[in-house]
Amino acid sequence: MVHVADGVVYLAVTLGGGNDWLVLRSLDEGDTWRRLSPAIPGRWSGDLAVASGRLHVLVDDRLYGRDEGRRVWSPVVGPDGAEPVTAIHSPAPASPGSALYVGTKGGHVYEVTRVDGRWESRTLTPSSLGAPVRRIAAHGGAVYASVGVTLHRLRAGQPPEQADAGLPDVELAALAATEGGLFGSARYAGLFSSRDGAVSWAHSADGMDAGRVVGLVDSGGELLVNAGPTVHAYEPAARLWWRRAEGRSDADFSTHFNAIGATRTGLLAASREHAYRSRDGGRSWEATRMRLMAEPPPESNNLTITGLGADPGPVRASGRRTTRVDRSSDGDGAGIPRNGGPGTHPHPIGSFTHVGDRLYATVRSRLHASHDDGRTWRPVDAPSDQITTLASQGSTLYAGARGDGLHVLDGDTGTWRQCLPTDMEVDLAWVGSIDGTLYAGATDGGAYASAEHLARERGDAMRLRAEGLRVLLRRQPWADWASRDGLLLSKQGGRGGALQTTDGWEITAAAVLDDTNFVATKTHGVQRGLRDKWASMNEGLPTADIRDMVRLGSTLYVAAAGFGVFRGAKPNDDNVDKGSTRRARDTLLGAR
Amino acid sequence: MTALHWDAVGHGDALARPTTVAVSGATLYVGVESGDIHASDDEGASWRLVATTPDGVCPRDMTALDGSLHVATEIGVLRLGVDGEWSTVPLTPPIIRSVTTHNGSVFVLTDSAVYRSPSPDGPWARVSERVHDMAHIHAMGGVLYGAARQGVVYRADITD
Repeated sequence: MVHVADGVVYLAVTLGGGNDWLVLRSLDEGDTWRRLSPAIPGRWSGDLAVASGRLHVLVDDRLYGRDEGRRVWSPVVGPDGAEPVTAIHSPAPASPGSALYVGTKGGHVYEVTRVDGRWESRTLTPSSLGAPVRRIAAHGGAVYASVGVTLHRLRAGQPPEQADAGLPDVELAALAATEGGLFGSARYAGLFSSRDGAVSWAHSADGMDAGRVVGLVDSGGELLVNAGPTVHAYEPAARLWWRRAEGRSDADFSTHFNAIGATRTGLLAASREHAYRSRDGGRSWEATRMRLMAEPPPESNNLTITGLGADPGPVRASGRRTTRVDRSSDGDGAGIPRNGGPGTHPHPIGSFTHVGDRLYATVRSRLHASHDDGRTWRPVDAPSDQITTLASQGSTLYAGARGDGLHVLDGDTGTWRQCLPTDMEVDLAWVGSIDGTLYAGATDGGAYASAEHLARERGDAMRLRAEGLRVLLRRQPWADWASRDGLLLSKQGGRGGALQTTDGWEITAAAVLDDTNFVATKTHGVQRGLRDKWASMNEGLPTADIRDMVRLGSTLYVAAAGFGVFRGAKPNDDNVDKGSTRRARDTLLGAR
Repeated sequence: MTALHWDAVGHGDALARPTTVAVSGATLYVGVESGDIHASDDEGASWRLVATTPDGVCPRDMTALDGSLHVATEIGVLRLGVDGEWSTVPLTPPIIRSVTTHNGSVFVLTDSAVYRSPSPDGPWARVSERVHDMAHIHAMGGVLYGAARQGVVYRADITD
């Protein structure tokens, strides 16, 4: 993510490819950068906005504001509490009084007038737009908000107007306003523009040799799009796009730009590894030096401390990106490398501890041990290869795992046993089974398994390994899990696997019928999934709040909250006795 | 595949407020808010009441496994055996975020709670809830420290 405001360039990067985000700031158009520490954990939305001189970022549906005086990120919440925020926007160019627009998961858009821990605002949506707001743009005195496949035009004190005539039924990937009009990227359906305040939209991709637009940017009045490996500029008079990447120097055509931004004197683009600068409107690019100011000492530059073990002797620290184990005496903070450190092949150490003079560490979630104070390490046979944490007491080693609970190594006998905290009374929201193991989910999002099953099923049995997933159904050799991002098809029980995104719907159940995925949701009824698209299957259902769904033969059955049980089948399905079921429904509804 | 058409099944008010459905073999089960569990062996044409949860606790979700119905409720997982008797299923957290020790006790941070045991083999007690943003725990000097993902550190005195 590149964002430019008032000559200041902001770049969001991940730490070690993980989920921790760091914002870098450059005052010299990309040559030198300063970290705006600390890192922000969570899922980055890609939204970054500067309003009233303050930088705002959106991470994990939470809005943070930069407090440069204290050098911290402060959560910013609305007057009604911590309603999840799904989109932010500040019109360019930024000015001291420039507005900040905030879209929420509840479907509201606010124009923020003051931010001080809580924001003060005026609402642009008298009632909810019905789904999370994903894109916002301000143009010509109106604010435009993209919600699902619908674009709304918002004006204070007036009801929302639908403003997507001519746009395909595709959620917009980008929305931009320029002097030349509004532009919206409809993902693979192409780029569309409107010159009449979104009264009508027309396909506007003539001359563009890329199908998918991933970013729109206003560069000094000129609109540019980032379409993966190419950058195009728009010529309003001819209504044509011109490719602007001929003669790339440092960045060749294999370089895929994730984001571009316009600076005072040119363009700045970011790939996964580097930032590039163009001073000729994107025709050629040079790599910026990307020098970080105020770097920590080189020895600890790549060291991300992920665990600290305090004992009567030294303190040791492990790093996420190196095999290095340091020992510092007397708490003076001067780490003494105990092994090769950064010069060796990098292995991410997740956790470590010691039992007597033997050190234990996890490297890529597998247990390793060292008998020579950290100089050399060997893998250790352990009952899980998904170990997340280690601790010790006396001669006992504890290893906590993803999916397998807690294991204990008895140092006296050298034998492992599973040690499972058990709980009987948990406030649960769901229950499901995979490979004979029963799983249940607490209302607070935590996962539980049947203690009996977890102790019995070992080896190849699939495990629930990632947090925040809901067990749905087994489909050899995969399993379906509901995540907050959508329907996840995974072989390993973790987040690695195919994902059908669902825009934040709460999935309650899934079923496969005729090799097609169906999901039941609390807000969108029953949906049929085909590749990346979902289609509503709610004809005859009186509510979109579907609490559960199962398949029996070629028929789906759902529990429709407050309305009864409904049976769904294809038309002309011989299994359905339409006469009797129609009468049954009449009886049921007539009784209410 | 064309669209599905939905029709109501059931009789009167018995299935009017369903919360969950499950299938075992050719039998369809429906749990309703009052705690009743109904079953149908003929694809919903006729229904029979097979059980009611203890104290009529609401069945929030339901699945069939090993010949028994397992029901998620606010008081845990209830298993309906083939003899019609209810029992509670012991649960364990499969995902362990962090573990630490203190004076012989073991503390475990899961994605839902912190558990404590005086020995590796139990018994375990839930000592803290609502830890969804906590990533790491460490016991030191009679205090249990918890580090949250937002950089907040919590502390709790450890009592015997």
